[in-house]
Amino acid sequence: MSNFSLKPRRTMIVLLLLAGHLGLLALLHMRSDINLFEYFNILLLAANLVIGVILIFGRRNLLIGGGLMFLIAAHALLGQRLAPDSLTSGALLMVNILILYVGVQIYSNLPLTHFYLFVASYLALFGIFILLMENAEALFLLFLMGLAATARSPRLLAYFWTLTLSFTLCQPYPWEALFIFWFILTVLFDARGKQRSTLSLVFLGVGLTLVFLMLLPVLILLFGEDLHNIELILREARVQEAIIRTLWTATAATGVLALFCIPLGYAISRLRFRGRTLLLSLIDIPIVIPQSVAGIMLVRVFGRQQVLGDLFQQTFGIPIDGTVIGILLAQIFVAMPFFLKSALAAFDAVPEELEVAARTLGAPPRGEFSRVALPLAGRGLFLGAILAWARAAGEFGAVLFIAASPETAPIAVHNRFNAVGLFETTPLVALLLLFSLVMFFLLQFVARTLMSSQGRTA
Amino acid sequence: MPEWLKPILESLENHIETASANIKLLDQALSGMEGSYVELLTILALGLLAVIPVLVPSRRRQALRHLNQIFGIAIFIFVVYTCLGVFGMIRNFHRGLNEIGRENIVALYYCSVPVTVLVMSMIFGPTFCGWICPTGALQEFAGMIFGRWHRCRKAEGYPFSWKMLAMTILIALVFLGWMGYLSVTRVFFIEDASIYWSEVLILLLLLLVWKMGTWDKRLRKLRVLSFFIIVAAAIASLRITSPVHFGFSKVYDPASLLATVMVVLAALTVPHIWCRYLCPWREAIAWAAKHSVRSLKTDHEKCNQCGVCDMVCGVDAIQKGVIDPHECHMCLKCVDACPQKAIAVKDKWKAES
Amino acid sequence: MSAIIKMKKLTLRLGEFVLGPVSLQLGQGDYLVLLGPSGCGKTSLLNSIAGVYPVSQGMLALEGADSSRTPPHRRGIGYVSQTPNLFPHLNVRDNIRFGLAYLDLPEGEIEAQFDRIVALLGVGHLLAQSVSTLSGGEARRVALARSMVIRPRLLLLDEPLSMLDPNARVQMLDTLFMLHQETGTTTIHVTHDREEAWAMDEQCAVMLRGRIVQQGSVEELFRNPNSSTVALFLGGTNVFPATFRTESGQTMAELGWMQAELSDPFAEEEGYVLIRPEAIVFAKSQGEADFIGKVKRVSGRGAFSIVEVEVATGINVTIHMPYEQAFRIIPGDQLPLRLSLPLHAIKE
Repeated sequence: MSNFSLKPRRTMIVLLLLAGHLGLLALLHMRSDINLFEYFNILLLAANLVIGVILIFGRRNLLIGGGLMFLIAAHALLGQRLAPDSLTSGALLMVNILILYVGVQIYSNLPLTHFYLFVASYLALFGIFILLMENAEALFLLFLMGLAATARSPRLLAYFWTLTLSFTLCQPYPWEALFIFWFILTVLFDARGKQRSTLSLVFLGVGLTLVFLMLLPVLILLFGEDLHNIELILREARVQEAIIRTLWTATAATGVLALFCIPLGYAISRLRFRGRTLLLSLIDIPIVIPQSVAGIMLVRVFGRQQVLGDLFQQTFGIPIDGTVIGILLAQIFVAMPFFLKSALAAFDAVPEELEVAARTLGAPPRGEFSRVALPLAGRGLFLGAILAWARAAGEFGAVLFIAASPETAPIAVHNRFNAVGLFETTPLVALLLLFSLVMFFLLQFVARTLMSSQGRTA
Repeated sequence: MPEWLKPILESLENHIETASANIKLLDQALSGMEGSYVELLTILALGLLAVIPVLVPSRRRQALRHLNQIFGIAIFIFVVYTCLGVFGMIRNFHRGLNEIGRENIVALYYCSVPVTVLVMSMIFGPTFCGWICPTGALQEFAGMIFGRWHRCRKAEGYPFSWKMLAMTILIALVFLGWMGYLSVTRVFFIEDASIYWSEVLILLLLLLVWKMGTWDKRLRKLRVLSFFIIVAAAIASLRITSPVHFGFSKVYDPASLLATVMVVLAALTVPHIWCRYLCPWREAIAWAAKHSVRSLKTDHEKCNQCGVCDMVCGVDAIQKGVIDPHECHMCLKCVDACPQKAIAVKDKWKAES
Repeated sequence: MSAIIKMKKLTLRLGEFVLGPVSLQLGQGDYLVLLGPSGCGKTSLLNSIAGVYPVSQGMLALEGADSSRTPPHRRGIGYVSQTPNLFPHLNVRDNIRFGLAYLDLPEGEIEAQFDRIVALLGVGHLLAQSVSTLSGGEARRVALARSMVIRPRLLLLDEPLSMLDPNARVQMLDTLFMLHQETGTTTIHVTHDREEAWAMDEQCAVMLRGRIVQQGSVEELFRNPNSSTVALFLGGTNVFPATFRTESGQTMAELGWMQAELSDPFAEEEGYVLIRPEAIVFAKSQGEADFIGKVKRVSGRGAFSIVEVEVATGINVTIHMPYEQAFRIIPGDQLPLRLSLPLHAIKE
């Protein structure tokens, strides 16, 4: 051993750690808190001795080696307090060694703030799983591993923390929460643009959070319901009838609206007249007034023995309220603004110069409308029709007052809820939700992809 | 006996008793009978196994790797037989995540193996595939038998060969024969997914006999499909098993055993066929290892494009020094084989932002 | 010869802006370049001819019939506006064929007409394309084809060369020439660019502040602007007040800093003179010089340079001279200059 010399500082630190381990262990053994001769404790002591010898006589990294010894000693002394048994404690030790490795790497390679973030994350995990929750040592283990894997990048760490929050705080619905969190995070991290600043990102994040809070019920109902229950509900004749009735009444209402709103929208878009602004605000009235108010207003005018209702019954022999015609009327009433506004916007988007060009090419007003304005506004009109259809199919309040008896789907939900309560109704609600979402996205898809190929604006 | 010796002896006796009780506990855990301890040992073992590739000396690395693989097979037989095989792992992962907050120890039980594998992949790269995975190990060992022949075929761009067709037909016959035997003798698990995976494997083999050279890259996309099938099955809580799910278990399950045999036989014809084209877990690991700290880097200054690494790579993940990280198993064969020492494992703690 | 279009005191009120009264008459096959600065009402005039804007007062007759109340689609006028305004939902072929549906012709003749115009304008290779893929020049051509295919009695072109790159401008000019030669369609071509008017070398009308102030051949306008505003618009900046003195049939103009002969006798005592920037050249010696100018600024314009000289306090003269002469001039030089052409006098 000629070329060998002990380094006093190294040796002292190692010996101190060893002495601390042994001394405290002996002390705790005397107070009979810990059994010194337990298999696991002997193993840890032996491991620490080996590492100590390697550290003293070798040239290994003192930071990692010393940290390792400290970890082992700490686990030997405290492990059994925290973990239910020595095996869990051992697993915890292994994971902590991994954390030590990652921590040392972060400390020596990445900015110091990042290291503080890492330490804070560790302490927070400790607080959540050991101090706050009971019997959660197992989870502590799992999530520590997650921290070790993700600690090196802020982005990954953000994903990890949302995962942790989803599975602890948002407990009954972790998957829904996780879905939402990760979607928001992905949007935030991938957001690009000239005005991409911290402020705009915060705005986006806060806004998205609210949007998803609104969407949470949708997600929970969709994911939470068993497919089998939905299938059972779908087999009920009453439900089938209600859904089919909703489908065709909404379609018919949209058809009627198309017949009136497309020409009106074109006229309002092209003409300037006194009272145009007033007319534009009058259109919004069905949106502004409460649905029940709308329903009663309709009954007052179109109901039995009322002004127009009576006239209608005398002329055609059937009443309006309590029949499909009443449903149609209510649906048309509430869906009208959506269609008209969309039509207006769609025609406004068609440049008037194109129509001038069509006129000078010899097209009479009819040809100009059908060959230029209509095709160019087609996509907007179709989207408006979808909106109106969805509004008509979903209308509840107004329909309830004027025609509650032939059930539409929303009314069916209401009746079922009143009759059998919340939990019996959720499968039906999930079914309708699924149905409307599929319908809506399908139509949107059609409008955006198929029609965009021909309705392109230059 | 002196009076003062008595308490010392007594306490010694007590200590021995507790020690033996502990050993018994460990033994029980090892034999896989006491559920809740299995996963803790698994974490220990897998963690160690994943760190070993980092620690081993480069001199006899491949021999040590094979040793490690044998250890991996052993661990998966004796310790984690419940989560063995990739499908089970994904299914258990889903089940375990759902247990979080309800039965935490059960959650750990189900999640420990997949989490350990994914976490190790995210830090140390996809070492699980090359160093531990028992399915991969079995295939690699099977492939060794025909190693030289495989290298020739690869060098020629995987042309059609009668030898390969004959082997494939032989494998198909083994499959059919076994199926026939099962159907006439006893329990015939027609509902067991393992049988269908075996069929897929044979179809794949037939396809590869003719088209391996050109369709290789496209067929690897099958893994994504495989992954989503398993995830969907896990969410729908269907019983779906992998070829090697029960193959290692102590419960005799003829369908799974058959499937395990099929994988091994198929790997005789196409090396690592399961990893290349069907393994869903491989896809998850590749995804997790995408930004791992540890990865292989080629020094293109040194590389003279001799193509030695192409020849040694079992999964065709490297071409003239250019590594496809999505396919790499981190077996480090190319590192050891490179005559220019151009390929090396690189840590990139600083690079990650 | 009956006039294709005849306007008499046509007036158009668009809010504050009053266009006209405009009187104009074009015969079969005429090509009129309507020249005027931006905002002078050229496009509004075209719009009222096409029927987009209603005529407020006056008379507009097409082929002898009063048409001031005829809706645009019955006027038989082809109108190519400043932006091509192609229909984005139709491809090039359907764009060109748009007006054919309203044409009262036998089927075969319609096809022949379509083929002829497509061949004339060279857009045959574009027919199947979507209009969003066309370049500026191609789009302009397609718009022209779309308007020409309906055999208009009168073709209105609003700035047909604007926003094109130089090569496309040259091609478009050739196309317009050729189209007029081949079809003989009466055309009103509106532009704000003098060079464009010179290049077309046809009848030209100058429009200033809503009125047509002078009409004639390009040569006439160039030589003989009838007012200083027209001169300023057409010729640049060198318009100066002067007094005139006529002796033995030769009129001399006195500008204060220079005396010079006029090209034609001029009866008035006071008025303006116009000096063309390109009509000023270096004098060989001080004695030959008509005036001395102190160089204030030199700027390049490709083949020629623009030199601004001060001839008296506050009076600047702009000179266009070949680049090779101008490049050694620096501000502050005293240049002996002379006129290479006689001066032209303007009354007001």
